[in-house]
Amino acid sequence: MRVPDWEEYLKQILSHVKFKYDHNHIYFELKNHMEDRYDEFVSEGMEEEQARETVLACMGDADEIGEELNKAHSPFLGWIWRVLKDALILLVILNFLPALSLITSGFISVFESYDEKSDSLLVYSIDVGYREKIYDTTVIIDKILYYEDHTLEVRYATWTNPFSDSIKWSSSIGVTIYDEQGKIQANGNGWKSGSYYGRGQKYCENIPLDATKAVISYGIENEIPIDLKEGRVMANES
Amino acid sequence: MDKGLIGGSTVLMLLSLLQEKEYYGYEIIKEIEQRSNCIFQFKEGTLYPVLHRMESQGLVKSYKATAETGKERKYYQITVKGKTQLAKEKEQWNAFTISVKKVLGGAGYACP
Repeated sequence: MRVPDWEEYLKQILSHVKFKYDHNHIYFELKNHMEDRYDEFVSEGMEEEQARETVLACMGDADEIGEELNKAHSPFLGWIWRVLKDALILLVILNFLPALSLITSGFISVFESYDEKSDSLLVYSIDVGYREKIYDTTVIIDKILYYEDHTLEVRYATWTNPFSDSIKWSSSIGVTIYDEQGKIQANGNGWKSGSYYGRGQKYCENIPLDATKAVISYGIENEIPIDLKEGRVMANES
Repeated sequence: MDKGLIGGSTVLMLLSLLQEKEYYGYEIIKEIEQRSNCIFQFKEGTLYPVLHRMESQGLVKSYKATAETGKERKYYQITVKGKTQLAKEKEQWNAFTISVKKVLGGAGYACP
């Protein structure tokens, strides 16, 4: 069965609809309807040409339908909807980006690499890969490195949802080191880039090799304990 | 009825149909024709502006799915807002028909 061409009729309808992004949907919906009607007429025994004309007569005046469709597809509301939808997609991507990049691993290098400490040799490193969401900020503790000059380095990143309206916490972290006897040092020197997304490196000096725990503090009363005994990768073994 | 579908009690009819199940445009036309014994026969194309306006008002939402015929069709589904609107329009319609009957029926329908 040859399905007739409704192109001209449908184009006439669409010529009235100013919001072009909806043209495709309208086109297919109306075309499907006309094909269904046509198939039915022909299956009832109607001549093809007569069926074609009857379908067009059943549908009604193209200009009238087009004008009414144009009212239903307001370009103003249409654009607002499109923009909102795009903003929503962006929001979702931004929210999940840290998780995605963690999965792909070595996520920091996607943006830029850390500064390598050049004045001392590495003793051990721990791939922490810790991630926690605190309010609207995701804190990622990437790696801990320990050097021959007794410096302990914490590599981290923070990610704040730029659309959130809550308080922006100071994006830098604090580090407190413990050994078996208790607290041995609070804080150290470091730097941190960016505001919404930022990487940071924190150096704590004079840390003994047998330090057992590092507690990372972030914002108010948020503490992330990290075991320094587990997961050590010794530099001289690799 | 050679008047188009635009306006009148069309929204009431469509909402009432869609409350039963989800339909695509052509099915709606067939359904209305059958139920009204072909009294409601209108220009079929005028159904779509009404459906699309109902969609932009949030009374119905649409989705694409493969119909029984194996072809992809755009189905319409009533929303919560649509159901509320249906209840409201039904009430208005009943009030209207009662009033008309009262006028037609004369004394027999008079208020007690």
